Amino acid sequence: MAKTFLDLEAWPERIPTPAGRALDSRLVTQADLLRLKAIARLHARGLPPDVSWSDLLQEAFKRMLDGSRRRPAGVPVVAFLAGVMRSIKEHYWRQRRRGARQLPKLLAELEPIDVQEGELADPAPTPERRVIAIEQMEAINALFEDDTRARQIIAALYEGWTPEETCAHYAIARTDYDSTRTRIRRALIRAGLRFPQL
Amino acid sequence: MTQMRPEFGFERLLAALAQDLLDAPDAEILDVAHEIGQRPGMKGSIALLGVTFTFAMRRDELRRQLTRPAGQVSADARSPRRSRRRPKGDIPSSS
Repeated sequence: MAKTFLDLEAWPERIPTPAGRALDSRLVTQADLLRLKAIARLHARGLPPDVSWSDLLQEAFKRMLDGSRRRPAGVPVVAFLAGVMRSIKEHYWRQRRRGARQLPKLLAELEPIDVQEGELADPAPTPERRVIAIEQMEAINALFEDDTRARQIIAALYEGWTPEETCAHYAIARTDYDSTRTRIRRALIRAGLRFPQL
Repeated sequence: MTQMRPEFGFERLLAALAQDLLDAPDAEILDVAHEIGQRPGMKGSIALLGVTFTFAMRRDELRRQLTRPAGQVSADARSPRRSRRRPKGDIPSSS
């Protein structure tokens, strides 16, 4: 059977990204970029699969470079970009909510005969976000399958407990708590830098 | 876990973990990169794929490859022509 495939040697054209331009301009270092990549992949867990971590990261850099987001004096560039990524994510969900609110109206205009009152599913995007949150909580817990202490601390962070409350609740020594947080952090960096980018 | 809305708890968790990543020393990040076999200092390192650069196919090249008849490989992609190995003592054909 004849096989078709793409000629990979003729394929790649390197496209510089906004983050690449920021590195060239020495606004960030390579370590900053790795850190931001891990943070972008973490935040992208809270988004549907059609929005990638790279979209989130590059959009944050683009907004900083084109001046649409200005870094306040005294705020480190990495912390600023992490904040921009978080706000892009919230903006995405706001837009999605707005779009969903428009949906019944649009459907009614498109198919006035078929649409009956009460027939449409809840258009609010919250169920989608909720499903993503539940799935991703499972995915994060799966990273620490063999580490009960890490899963306890993740559960505590989910609840918003302070380190003291967590230590008291699970009877953990503070040193154990701190070393577990470090272990979680290293695992997340590893997951954030891993390739293929799953 | 309590009965709070999962998306709120999850976002709170992400915020706390993102703060941990912000607080991580550079040395730790580079150490983990090395641990998984990445060399971010090298040009074109896989560690920075999707960060400082991406790959895209040139539009004309994409069109050419997608419209190529099935089974046809471009001249560049073909492996170099080699003469077929003959058993020892075999007389080369004159054709």
